[in-house]
Amino acid sequence: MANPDRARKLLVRTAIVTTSTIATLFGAQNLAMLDARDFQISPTPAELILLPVPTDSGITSATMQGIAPGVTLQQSAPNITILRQSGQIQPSSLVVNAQAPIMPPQPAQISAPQPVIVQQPVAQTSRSTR
Amino acid sequence: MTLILNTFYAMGCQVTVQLDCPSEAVGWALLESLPSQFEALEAQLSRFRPTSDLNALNRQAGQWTTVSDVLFENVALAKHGARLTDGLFNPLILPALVANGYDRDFQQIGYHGTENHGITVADWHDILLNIAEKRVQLPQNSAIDLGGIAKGWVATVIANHLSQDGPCLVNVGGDMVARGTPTGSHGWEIYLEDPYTRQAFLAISLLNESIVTSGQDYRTWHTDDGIRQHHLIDPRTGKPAKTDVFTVTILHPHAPTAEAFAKSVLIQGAEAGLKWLNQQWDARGLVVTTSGAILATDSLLTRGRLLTEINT
Repeated sequence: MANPDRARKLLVRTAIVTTSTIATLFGAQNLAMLDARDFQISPTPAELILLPVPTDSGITSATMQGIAPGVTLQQSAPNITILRQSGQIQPSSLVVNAQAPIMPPQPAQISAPQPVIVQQPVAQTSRSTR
Repeated sequence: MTLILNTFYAMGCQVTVQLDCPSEAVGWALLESLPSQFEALEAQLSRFRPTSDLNALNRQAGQWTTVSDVLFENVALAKHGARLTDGLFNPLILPALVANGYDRDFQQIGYHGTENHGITVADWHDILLNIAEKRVQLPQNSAIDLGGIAKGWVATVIANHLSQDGPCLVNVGGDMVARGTPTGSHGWEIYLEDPYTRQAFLAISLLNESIVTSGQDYRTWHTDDGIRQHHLIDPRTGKPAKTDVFTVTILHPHAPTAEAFAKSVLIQGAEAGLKWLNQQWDARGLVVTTSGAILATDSLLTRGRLLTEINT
């Protein structure tokens, strides 16, 4: 690596993350098990019983209308909202994109790319790995 | 503060890293060194590298094997993901992945193989871990694929490393980890994209958390007899999951956990998966279905900002 000190620091921090993450995982698992026990589940065979929703996520269609004027929203189930129904998208979009030839990115990288300075954060898009 | 960005290719995908750093020189050096750091980690964790630590572990399935801290942590995270999802995420799917045609780096697959009739995926409970000695035993005749777990872990480690010098956003092929906020902002702005229209429809400001998207929209291929395959194996069948989920996005404090949750939601199906997700600790999600519907947990929508009408 270009900077051996940075490499050593990364290895040290990785080791620290390893031990702390494992401790966190076991703690998180215990916490999840406690959460599950705190809420009673009635024996309804056909449906899941949803846990109470955290207070900051209680939301209604009216609330969402305020957030997104002009967008019609529906509730699919408690705490799940439908932003778009099946069939509302142009069928050609479904067909074309589902059968589009797969074009993986070109990985050619002759030399290590250089960082660039930007004026403001570049918004990123979350999508399936490509 | 200087905002520095670097984009390069690693771990089979595009990586983009942004760092808001008080020292331009320090930030430049950090980001310039990232490709080699990713390479060092990928060399340990990739199943496509014959000499990787992961492949060495897979070759010794059935025996106790001493592994590096990096590999141990990833295997431990993978097993934990299986525990949290009751096995719907199962890292022991590698033999099934290979049997279904994903036996090489995705870019090289093309048309390949024939439809697999399903193979048995080993029980994740049989992954044994000796924490004190950093030893792992995989079930006999099994093999591990770290896949998204490794991407999430690497993004987390790199983000934690960079955050010592400033707020940062690490994007590994669409899986992102954010630390701190860039100067003048309330978080790192990211968009969710409609996989059908390729339009961004929801904006979220990430703040010390991760977001992961998985789906059958991109890593797909066809068998020699024209059967469409994708890489998301249902461990119950050993075959690509039959699901109405086209893509799933998970928002969660911990990227590797988000990866496991994404697989679980996808395998369960849109509505059942989101109902299950609503019961998980600090998890929020959105699904785009194979029929074009978009569903989201209310907990995610409170964090998001709809950008436009999303019907067509």
